[in-house]
Amino acid sequence: MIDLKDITYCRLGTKDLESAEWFAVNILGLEVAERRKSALYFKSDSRAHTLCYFEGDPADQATAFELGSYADIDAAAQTLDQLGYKVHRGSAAECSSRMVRDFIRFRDPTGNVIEFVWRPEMSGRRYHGTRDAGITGFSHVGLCTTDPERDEAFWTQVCNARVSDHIGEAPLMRINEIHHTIALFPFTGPGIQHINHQVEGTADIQRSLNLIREKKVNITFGPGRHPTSSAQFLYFSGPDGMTFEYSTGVCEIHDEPAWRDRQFPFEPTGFCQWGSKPNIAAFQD
Amino acid sequence: MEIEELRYIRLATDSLDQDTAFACDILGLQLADKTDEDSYLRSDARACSLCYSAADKVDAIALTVGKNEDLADVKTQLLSFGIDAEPIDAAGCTVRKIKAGLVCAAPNGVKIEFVWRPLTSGWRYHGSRDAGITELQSVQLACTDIASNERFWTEILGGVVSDWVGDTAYIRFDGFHHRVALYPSKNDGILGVDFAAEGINNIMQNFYFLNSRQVPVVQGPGCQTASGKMFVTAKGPRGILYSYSTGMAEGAAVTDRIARQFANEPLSHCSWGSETVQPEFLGRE
Repeated sequence: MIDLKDITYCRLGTKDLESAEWFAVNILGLEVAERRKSALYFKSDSRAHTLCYFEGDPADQATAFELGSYADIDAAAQTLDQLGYKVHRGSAAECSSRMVRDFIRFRDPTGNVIEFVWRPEMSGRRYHGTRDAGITGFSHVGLCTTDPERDEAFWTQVCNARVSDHIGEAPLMRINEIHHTIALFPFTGPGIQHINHQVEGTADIQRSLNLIREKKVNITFGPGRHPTSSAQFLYFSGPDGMTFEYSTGVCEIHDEPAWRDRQFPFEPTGFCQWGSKPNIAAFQD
Repeated sequence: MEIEELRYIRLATDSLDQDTAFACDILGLQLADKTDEDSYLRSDARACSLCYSAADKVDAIALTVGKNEDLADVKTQLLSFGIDAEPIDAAGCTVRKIKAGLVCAAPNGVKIEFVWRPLTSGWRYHGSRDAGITELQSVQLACTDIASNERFWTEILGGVVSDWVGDTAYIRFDGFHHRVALYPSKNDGILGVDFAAEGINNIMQNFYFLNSRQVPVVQGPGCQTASGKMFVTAKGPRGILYSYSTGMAEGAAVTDRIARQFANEPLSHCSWGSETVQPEFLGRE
């Protein structure tokens, strides 16, 4: 069993680094942590970076999870190899470009690029966003899946993810107390379906709604509240069509044995208990 | 003199049935009683907190006094400021479901009814839809002469200013931030009626409900800067505003400080920055 401790970062290729930076800083409210040749690193919490935009193909995306020890990286590589996954061991240069000590990369059954990392860098400097978005940190991703049942089995049987709830066929899975860190949404091919940052409270969601609307950014869902995690949310479009989410008040599951995953309908009421309707392809039939 | 509570609002109407339908089908109030001339709507334990009257020509706000003798004290107090007050006759008391009452005119032309022993219903409030309404919370008044209206509500009636936004004055009679809000305006009269709702879920659900019924939302979802209440405000018959709100500041946070002066600008009316074209909420006069 591969024991995922936390979600670490997303890496997104883009052909327009300048626009990506403008969005990340002025709309999303992240802080530029570091500029390197052809890559920009953004902070959202106490970690050195949680999002990296690099010059490249927008289809080139990766999501990273932290493992507990060097031995776990080795063991994970072996497990995946035995199961027939093609595992790439990160080179020193690749480790440096991810600000980690070691990592392996592979594709999940749908084809999403996943990285398991060891010792991702923390920062001694507090996150201070360019605008007061109230971000408390990078929190979860939605990944596309071409076969939710198969991929759920991968994340829950090969890895330590547990299903907290389903919306239709889509599993919302936790790897710690937080209701979900990985969610899988049926789609035509691989890709990161959305990237979530947590914000402090209701006011941050609502203030951002008005700011984002004023900046003519496409709001795709919300403000709303998920009946699954009880989180209040707002979804909007970023560079290269990426969906970003702010949310607050996601519930935690502390009593593992007592929790029973619930089935919610794959329709607007399963996604929002306030009455907003998603304009996001993977959230619609 | 002691004002116990904001008791009910009586709104004059030429279209009793239409307005009643609005209150029930849109606002979600409970029609408790209906005569040829009056619709009595409940929002809480009161037998009536909003009344549409085809007989009335002028809108009225009722304030409860604790004892019958208080009515005489009110009359004396008003007279000492040169304001005439008339007793409400037996027929008028029956129509208003009160034991006794006294009526005078506020500087903005609205009738103020001082009422003793207003009727409470023994039946639990059950709205026509699940809007989450918990009580009649406050009333907004439009004033062409803001100074004399503030004087009327404070010096004469004994209310206390909790905060100002420009010259907008929030007046309290009890532990809540305000029961009456006075807005400088080009008009005189009742600007809006505000119902408290259980929580943010109700505010947001009502927001989406109003949208789905194509009821014009004047402002919100928003958060009133001075009182901290989250709200959504819609426009109803005769252009009167109806709000759902939750989380109004109360207790020591309000009563143990001096009144604050906020800048005369939109953000002082909504700290979330929700848009509005309602002149009274723009901080311009």
